[in-house]
Amino acid sequence: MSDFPEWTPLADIADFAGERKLVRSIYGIDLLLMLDGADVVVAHNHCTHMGRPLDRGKLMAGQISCPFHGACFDLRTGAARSGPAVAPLHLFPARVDGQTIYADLRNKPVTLWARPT
Amino acid sequence: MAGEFGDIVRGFSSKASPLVTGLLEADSRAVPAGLKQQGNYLPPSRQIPLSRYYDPAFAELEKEKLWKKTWQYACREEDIPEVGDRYKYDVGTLSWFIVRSGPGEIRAFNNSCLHRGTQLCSSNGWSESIRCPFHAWEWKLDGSLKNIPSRWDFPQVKTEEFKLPEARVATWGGFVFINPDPDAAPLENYLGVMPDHFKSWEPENRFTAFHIRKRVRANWKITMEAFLESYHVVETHTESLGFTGDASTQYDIWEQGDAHISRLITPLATPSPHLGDGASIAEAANYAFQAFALAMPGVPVPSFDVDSKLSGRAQVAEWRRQMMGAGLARDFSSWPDVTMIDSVEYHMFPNFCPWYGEGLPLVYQFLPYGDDPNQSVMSVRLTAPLPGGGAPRPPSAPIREIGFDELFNSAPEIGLLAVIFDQDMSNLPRIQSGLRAASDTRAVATFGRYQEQRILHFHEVLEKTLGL
Ligand code: FES
Ligand code: FES
Ligand SMILES: [Fe+2]
Repeated sequence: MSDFPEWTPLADIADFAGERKLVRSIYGIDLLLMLDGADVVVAHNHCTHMGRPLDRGKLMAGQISCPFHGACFDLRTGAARSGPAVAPLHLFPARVDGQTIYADLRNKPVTLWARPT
Repeated sequence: MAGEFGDIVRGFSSKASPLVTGLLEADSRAVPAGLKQQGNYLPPSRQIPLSRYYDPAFAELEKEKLWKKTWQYACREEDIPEVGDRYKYDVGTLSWFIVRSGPGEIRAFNNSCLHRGTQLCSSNGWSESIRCPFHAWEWKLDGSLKNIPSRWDFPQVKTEEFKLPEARVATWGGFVFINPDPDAAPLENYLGVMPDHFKSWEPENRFTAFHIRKRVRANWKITMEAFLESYHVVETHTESLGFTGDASTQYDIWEQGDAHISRLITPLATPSPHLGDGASIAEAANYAFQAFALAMPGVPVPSFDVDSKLSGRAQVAEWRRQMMGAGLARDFSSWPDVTMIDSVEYHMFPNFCPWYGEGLPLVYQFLPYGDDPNQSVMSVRLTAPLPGGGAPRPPSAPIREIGFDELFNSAPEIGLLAVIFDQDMSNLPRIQSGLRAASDTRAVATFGRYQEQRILHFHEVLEKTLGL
């Protein structure tokens, strides 16, 4: 994993195309990009409860709820705020340069294997 | 000095601090009829055995005959604004979850999977469907069965027979109530005078500005009863005597069929009658200015104007009208003094206390906690009027949980109220311990005829409900 560059380009802001969530898979990592107000948040698209994808979840100011069993995560810290999850959602450091969204993917979360959809 | 009602004394006043009826007559605005209306019932005097506050058999009886059979306030509509939002409602070991199942539609389900019983909703939040985390049995938001993995293995399961069991749901004033009993009379029958009395204040047009859930080492009835009378103010909240009409508080009970409603009105910006005929009215107003100002940091605190034609109470009320009007872009100019400053608390059997007015716009809910009758949860909300000027409805504040050994003071959002709650909280575990240590010859509670009538009334209805 340390052979990843520090900043990996993920997408353009325009790719959101009016939505607030965007899914990408890069280096085999499933990513969920979110627009939280003016901030871009890059998270592992993988709920820490039962490992299901979060992208159909409900995004509200500062938090996302998993569509499956309702776990809710803080978008600033990743902390599990409510619902059945305990472990925090894995967030990647992110920045926007011009139109391009970059994230630091070097600290990759540990997953068992590819999750079901 | 005392008002008479039958053979009992209806409160205690002084020259400086009249009874509530006198204060309402002196209000600077027209007082709504509901606030002037007086109760129609006074329970007979009797003693109550202390065992019902700790006996597990009594708690079990409450579970079967009270909580499974009664209309009970669960949450507010604004807690679940969007389809898929859900609110977990626990009563001891019983548990339901309330779901916004469609636009304008709310349902309540038993929080238990029909496969092997797993809890379906572990906390408030949102989800797309109702899906069990164990084997993924899944229901639509309306409770109909959506999917069973390995459906072939359950030939005995008929889809239409595996709808989630529901409790009945009804709403009033933005409050969501449930009743697990399919045969119960409609909620309206239980609300009694409340819709009429609250109409002038529109509880539906408010939002939850803070919401605290405090765990308490005392039976839920002990916790609740500490908030049904102002008799304890003189000893427990001594600092508020300068501006609180504790002994002049008015108590009323309305018994109407299924409706068991009671109310207290504790006037503010008036000295305690305990302070005597010479107590300072100016000081009472000044204390009240300061108490209300604590909720508005940075705002200059006025003081009693001796040259004003307005009474101290009217001055405090007028200042509040202006401050709230400016802050919320709304017009409070016709709201009476009593609505702006006093503490008006209703109680609907068994455990719902909505307060009326801006003096203390709180909502209390008292619930058993887990399977230990010596523990309870007190939920406290503060609601605020919706802002005017077309501003959007603010979201419900998230719930702050306060543990058994934590102080309300750990919740900075509630300001001075925390000090008052912590004074009450310090009594509760001591009550629970003390009542279990009572002599066998004196294991009963004795109640004040007037000031503690609401507690006696509650027990009367409780015994009837439990079939005792
Ligand atoms: S997988 Fe997300 S809440 Fe269960
Ligand atoms: S217990 Fe719920 S699906 Fe098995
Ligand atoms: Fe108190």
